[in-house]
Amino acid sequence: MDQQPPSLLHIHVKLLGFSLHSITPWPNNPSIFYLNGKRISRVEILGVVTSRDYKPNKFLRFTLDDGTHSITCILWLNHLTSPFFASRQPATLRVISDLAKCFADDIQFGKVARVRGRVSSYRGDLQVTVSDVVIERDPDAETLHRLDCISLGRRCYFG
Amino acid sequence: MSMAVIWGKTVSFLLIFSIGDGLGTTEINCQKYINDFKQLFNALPIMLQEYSVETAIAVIADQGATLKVDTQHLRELSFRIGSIFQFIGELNIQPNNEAILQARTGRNVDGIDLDLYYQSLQLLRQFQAKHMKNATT
Repeated sequence: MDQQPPSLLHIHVKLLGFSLHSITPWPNNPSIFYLNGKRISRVEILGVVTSRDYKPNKFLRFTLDDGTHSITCILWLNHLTSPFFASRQPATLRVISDLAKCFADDIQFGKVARVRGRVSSYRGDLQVTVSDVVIERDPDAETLHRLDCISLGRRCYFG
Repeated sequence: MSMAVIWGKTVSFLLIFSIGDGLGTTEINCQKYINDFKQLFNALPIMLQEYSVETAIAVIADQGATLKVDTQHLRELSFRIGSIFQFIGELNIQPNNEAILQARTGRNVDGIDLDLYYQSLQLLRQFQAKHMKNATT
């Protein structure tokens, strides 16, 4: 019996900007997208922060540029005030809120950031809702991410 | 015509000088990019050759070609001659046809493996070309 390829739906798919912009929405669920016929919902991207729109206690919207495309990212900072999170434990919300504020401080113009998050669509444009941020200090980080994306693309995503 | 900011396409340093980078991009195409869009250019990692504190103009150089970079918005960056820098910015063509990169971001990438960087760019271009071809068929 043929072995089914592993699902990409619940993993962070490493993508370059131009590949991310090639995905298409799945009609039945706005949080799921098609990447070459495979369903995905989460991505890992890396690039230079080239814009930053900060609204305290609301959100930080920024763009990452990896040399192939720019990617809009949204980091929510309204965990303590938004009714969307009202059902969560207050202690948990405080931890998430503090972590998000740390990420917002880390995201500065010109830094190289590795971001994980959920793909979503806002006013017809793709964006990544940030769940995790790491600032890269290794000068080869972009190169290694590029090679990872190409290798995974050939073997898993587009193979 | 309104100017749209599009992504920081990684361009060969030589492309800025309209010599072409093996991708079939011609001088006309390059000029069209600059005219039609407020294109962000992602310059390759290149060594700093000169820097003027008064004008905040840096000169980066590679294989005899040089590019001026206006760094007036990069106050936190420390410019040391001989270090490798990578900039993203808008390319402005002056009336005398001189190109100046108006840097939006810049960073010191001393220690970068340049051979690996250029090899990865070649692989990226092959990967992108195949990807684009598949997308259109």
